[in-house]
Amino acid sequence: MRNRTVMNSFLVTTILALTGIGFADPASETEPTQEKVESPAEIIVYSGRSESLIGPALKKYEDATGNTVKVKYGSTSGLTALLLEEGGATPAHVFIAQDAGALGALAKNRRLAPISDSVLVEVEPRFRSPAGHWVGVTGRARSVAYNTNAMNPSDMPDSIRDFTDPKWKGRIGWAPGNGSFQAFVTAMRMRDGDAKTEAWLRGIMANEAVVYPKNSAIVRALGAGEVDLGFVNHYYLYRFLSEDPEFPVKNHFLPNGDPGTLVNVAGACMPKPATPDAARVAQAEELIRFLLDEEAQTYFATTTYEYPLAKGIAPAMNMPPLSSIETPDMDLSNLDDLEGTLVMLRKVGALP
Amino acid sequence: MIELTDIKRSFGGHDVLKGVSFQIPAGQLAVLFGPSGCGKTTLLRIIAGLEHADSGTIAICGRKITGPGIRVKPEERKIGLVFQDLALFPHLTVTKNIEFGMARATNKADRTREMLELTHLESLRDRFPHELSGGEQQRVAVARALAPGPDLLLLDEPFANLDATLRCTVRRELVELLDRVGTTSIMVTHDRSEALSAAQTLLVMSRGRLLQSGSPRDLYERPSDLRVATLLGDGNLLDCEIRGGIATCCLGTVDAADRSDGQAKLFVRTEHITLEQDEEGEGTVLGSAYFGHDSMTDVGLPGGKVIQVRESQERTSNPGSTVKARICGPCTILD
Amino acid sequence: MILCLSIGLLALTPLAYLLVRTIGETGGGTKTSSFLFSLRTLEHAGTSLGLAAVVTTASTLIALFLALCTGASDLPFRRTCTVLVVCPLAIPCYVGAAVYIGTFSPGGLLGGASEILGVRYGWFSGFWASAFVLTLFTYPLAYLPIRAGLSRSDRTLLEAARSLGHSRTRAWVHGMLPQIRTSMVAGSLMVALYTLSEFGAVSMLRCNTFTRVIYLEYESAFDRTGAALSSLALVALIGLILLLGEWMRGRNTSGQTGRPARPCRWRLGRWRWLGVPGVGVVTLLSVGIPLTSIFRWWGRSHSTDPVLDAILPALVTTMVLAVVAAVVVVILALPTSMLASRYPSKLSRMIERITHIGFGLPGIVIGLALVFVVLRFLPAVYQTWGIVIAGYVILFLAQATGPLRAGFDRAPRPLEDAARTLGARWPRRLRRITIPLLVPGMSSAFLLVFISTTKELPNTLLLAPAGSHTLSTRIWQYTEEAMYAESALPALILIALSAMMVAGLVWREGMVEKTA
Repeated sequence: MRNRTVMNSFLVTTILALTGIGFADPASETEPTQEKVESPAEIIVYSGRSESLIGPALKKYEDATGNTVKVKYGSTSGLTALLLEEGGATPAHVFIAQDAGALGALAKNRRLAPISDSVLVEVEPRFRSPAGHWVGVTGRARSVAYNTNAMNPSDMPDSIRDFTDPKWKGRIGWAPGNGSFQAFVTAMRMRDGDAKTEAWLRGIMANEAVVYPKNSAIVRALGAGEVDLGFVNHYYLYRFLSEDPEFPVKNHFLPNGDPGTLVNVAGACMPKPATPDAARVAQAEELIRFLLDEEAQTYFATTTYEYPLAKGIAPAMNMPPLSSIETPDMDLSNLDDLEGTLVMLRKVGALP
Repeated sequence: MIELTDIKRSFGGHDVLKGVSFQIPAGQLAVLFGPSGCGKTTLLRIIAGLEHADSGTIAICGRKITGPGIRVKPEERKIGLVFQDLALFPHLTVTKNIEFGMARATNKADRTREMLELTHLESLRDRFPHELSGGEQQRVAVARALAPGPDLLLLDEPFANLDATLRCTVRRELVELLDRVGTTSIMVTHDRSEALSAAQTLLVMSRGRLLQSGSPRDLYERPSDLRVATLLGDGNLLDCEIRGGIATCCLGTVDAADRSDGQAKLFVRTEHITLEQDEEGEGTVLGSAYFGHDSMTDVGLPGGKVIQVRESQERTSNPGSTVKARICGPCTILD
Repeated sequence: MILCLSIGLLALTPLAYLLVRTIGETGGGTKTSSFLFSLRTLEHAGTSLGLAAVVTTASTLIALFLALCTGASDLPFRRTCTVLVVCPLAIPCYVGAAVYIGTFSPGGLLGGASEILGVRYGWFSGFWASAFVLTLFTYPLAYLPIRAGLSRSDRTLLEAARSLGHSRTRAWVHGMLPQIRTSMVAGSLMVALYTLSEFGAVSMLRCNTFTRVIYLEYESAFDRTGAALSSLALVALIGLILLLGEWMRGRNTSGQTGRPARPCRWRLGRWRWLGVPGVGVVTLLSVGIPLTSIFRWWGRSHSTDPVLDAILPALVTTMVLAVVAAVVVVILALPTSMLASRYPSKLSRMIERITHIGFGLPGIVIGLALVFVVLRFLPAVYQTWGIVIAGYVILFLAQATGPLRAGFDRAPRPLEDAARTLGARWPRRLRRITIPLLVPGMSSAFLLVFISTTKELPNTLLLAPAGSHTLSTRIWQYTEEAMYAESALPALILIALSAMMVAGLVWREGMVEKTA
C-alpha cells in the first residue's frame, strides 16, 4: 500500500512537470493549441517559410483586419508530410510552401480546395496552378552565380547543359541536397528526359563539382574564391550585397528558357477540410489576397529579395525584371515528382 | 512485559510463522534462537510493526499494538530496533544519529550525553559512522535505539557483522548495559553460545514454531524434543528400554521414574559421558579431534554404534585403547 | 511497478511504431525501389561499419598508448598529461568537425595548406576526414575505462610471467594485456556505438553513414519511408555491435587474483621523455588546434552584435531546455531507479533494460520515430519544445538511472525502517533521511543529463520548433552556411559549458566517494 502511494505521488509530480513544460516553453505563444476553432476571426496557418521571413507580413495582416493568425512553422517537406498525414482533419486554413513541387504533390493527392478566380487573377498564369489549387506569392529564379574576379559573363555557356565540358573541372559549386536544386533537376527531367538529365548529372560529377550543404554556403564560397561559379537561387546574392556592396559575385541568367533559369515560386494554398466550409474558405482567401497586396509584396521584395508575383510590383535592388528572365515554359505543379529526382540523384551518387 | 498470542504469517503460500505465542516479563533479556530461515527475523519485524501479521495479537504492558483491526504504526509503537546491518544514518554524526529518535524530547542534550556515556562514545560524538570501527558502530546503533526510552528493545543478530574476537567482548558489554538500563529486550541470534550466554529467557524456534522456552540451563539440560536438544549442543542419541521406571541403554541405566514401559530414545550430551581406561570395557577409541580447551573422541561400541564424547584436555584417551563409557550427567528421554 | 513499466514502454513506443509502419508501407513497395534500396543500404552499412571499425581501432590504440604512458609509467608531468588527455571529452564531435572544416577553409588557421598543397578547398571531407575527427574526440571514451583497468591490474602476473622466463615485452603481452582486456573491450564498444550513432560530424564532413542518409532522406522527401527504413537498418547494425560486445565479454578471461592489486609501473628509463611528445601531438590535434582556430575566428568576426543577437537567445534556450529536460528525466527515472534498487527482481531488471535501449539508439532515429508518432497521433505537439524534451527523455533516461540507483542504494529500506522505529513519520523520514541521501545521486544524474542535452544535436535539429535555435543547432546552421567566424562563439560557449559541467561532475563524484 505504502509503495503505491509513493508511486502515485511520482505520477502526479510527473504530470505536473510535463504540463509545466508548456509554461517554460519560450515559443509557446506562437504555437497553436489543439482547441477547436470556433471564433471566425482565427486563422490557422502552416508555414514552410521561416518566422523571420513571413512573420512580419502576417502581423501586418492581423493589424489590418483584427483577425488573429496562429502559425505552425516547419520545413516545407515536413509540413507537406504532416498535411498528407492529417488529411481532412487538418486544422490548417492556409499552407504557405517554399516550393511549387510540394504544392503540386498536395494537389495531386486531392488535399487542396480551389482558390477563387478573383484571387488568382492577381498572378500571371505561369506562376499559379492551372486548376486553381495554389497561387504563387513570390518568385525565386535559379541562376549561375560567379566570382567576378575569376570570370566574365562572356565566358558563360549558352545552357546549363554545357557545364559538363571538362574546362569547368573543379570550378563548380553545387548543393545536390538542396530542395531548389532538386526542383531544377525535376524541371530538367521534364524538359530533356531522364536519360539526358542523368547523363548531365554524371558529367557535373565527373567535373568534380564541390558539394555544399546549402545555396548560401555556395555564394559565400564564391565570395571567398573557393570556387568560380555555382548553381544557386538568385536572391542569396542580394543578402550578401546588402551587407557588402563590393561582394565580388554576380548572377547570370541563362537564356532561351533554359532549365537552369527555372523560376520556382513560394506559394499559398488552402488544405481541404473533410466537410466543405464556406466561411473558412473566405477567411483563407482573405489572407492569401492580403499576401498578394502591394504592402505585403513590397515587403517580400525588399526583405527576401525574391520577385513579387502580383502584377505591377517591381523587384528590389535593381534586379533584372522578372519578364527579362527566360524561364522554361512549364506547369510548376508538375514539379511534384521529387521522388523520381531523388532516386536519380542517388543513382548517380550525388546523394547518398 | 510483552505478550504474543498465536502470531501467524505466510509469504506466497509459504507459512513462515505458524502460530507463535510467548510472554517475556518486564526488564528481562530474552533471546530468540533458531537456525537461519526459521522465521525469527520476521517475528522481530512483526513485533516492530515493519511487517504485518496475518493473525494473532501482540501487547506491550497491556497495550495492544497488533491484533484484529489494530495495527499501530512502527513509529508509534515505542519499540527500539537494532538492525542486523545496524542501519546507521551515514550522513549524520554519532550525536545526530543518537538524537534522531528524540525529536520532541525536552531534555535531549542531557539524554544524548547520558547515552554517549553509557556506551563510552563521548570522544567519538562528532564522527560519521564510516569513521568508526565495527564495535563502535554497534554501540552507536544500541545507543540510538535506547535513546528515546523504548518500552521494548529488539536486537536483530546484533553481532553478526563483528569478527569473532570482538564479538565476545561486545556481547558482554551489551548484556551489562541492558541489565543496567533495565529495558525489556528481545535479541535474535542463530549463534548458540551467544544465545546460551546472553539470555535470561531463551526461546528456541524452528520452522515457524516456538519449540521451547525457559532458562538457558533448563533448555540445555532438559530439552523437550530432539530438535531443541541438537540445536543447543552436541549429543548422542541412544536406544533405550524403560522398565519399571528405569531406562537401560548401552551405557548403563538412568532414572526414568515418570515414564511408562517400552522402547524410547535417550539423548546424552557429549560432555555428560566419561571414559575410563578399562581392558574389560566394551568401547574402542576410534580417534580424537583436538580443540585446545577440550577434545572430541569417537568411541565405537558393540553393534557398530559410534558415540562422541567431549573430554577435558588432561584426560584425552589414546586411539586404539579400550574404554568403558558411563553417563555422568543429566540426560533426556525422548519419545 | 506498473508506472515504471509504462515509462519504460512509453520510451520504446516511437521505435515500435517506426517498425510497424515501415513494414506496413514497404509491403506494397515496387521491386525496383526495394532493389535500389537494398544496394544503397549495403553501401551505407559498409560506410557505417567501416567508419566504426577505423575509429574504434585508432581510438583504442591511442587510448592504450596514452593510458600506458599516463597510468603505468614514470612519465614526467603525469598528472598534467592525464588532465590534458581527457580534455577532448568536453568537445562534441560535431563542434570538432565544424572547427576543422573552418580551419582548412579559406582564411582559416590552416587554410593556406590548401594553396600550398595545390588541392581545392573542401578537400577536408568524406570518410577519412570523419575518421580523423571522430578518433580525435572519441578516444577518451576508450581511455577512461582502460586507465581504470590499468589501475586495477596486478603486477604479480607480470612478475610471474617474467619469472617463467618471458622477455619484458612478452611478459607485457601475456601478463598484462589479458588483465586490461575487459576494459579495452568495454572502451572499444563505447567508441563503436558512439561512432555509429554520431550524426553531426559525419554530416558536416559528408561521410555517407546511415545517420547522414537518414537526415538527408528526411529533409528532402515528402515520403519518409526511406528514412524510416534506413533508421531500422541502423538499429539492426547497433544490435549487431551489441551482440558482438556481449560475445567478447562472454570470453572474458581476466581473472581477479582476489588480493588487493599492486598496480604496474613501467620504468621508461631513457625513453621516458618520448611519451611527452606523444601526449603532446594528441593534445595539439584534439585541443590545441581547435581552440586556437576558434579563438582566431572569433577575433576576426568583425560584426559581433548580430552574432550576439543570434547567440544569446540560443544560449538561453539551451540552458532552459537543458534544465527542464534534466528535471523531467530525473523525475521520470526516479521510480525505475527506486524499483531497481529496492525491489530487485526479474521484472525490475527487465524494466531497467528497457530504459537502457534508448541509450543505445542514435538521436536521429529517436527524433525521426517521434516525428512519425507525433504526426500520426498528436499533430498538435509537432514542433513544440515538449516533443524535443520527450526525445531527450528517451535518449537520456538510462543516464539518469545509474546515479539515481546508486543514490537509492545509499538510502536503502532498512534506513527508513530504522527511522520509523525511532518514531519518525514519513515527512520527517523523507526530509531527514531519504532526500539528503538521494541528493548526491540526483545531482549527478541532473548534471549528466544537463551536459548531454546541451550537446545533443540530431534530436534537437529534427524536433525543435522551426526558427528557434539552441547552441548546437546554431553551430550546425553556421557550418552549413559556411559562416565559420560566426560559429566560433557558440562553439566556445558550448565547450566551456560542457567543461564546467564535466569538472562539476568529477568533483561531485569525488565528494560522494569520500562520504560513501
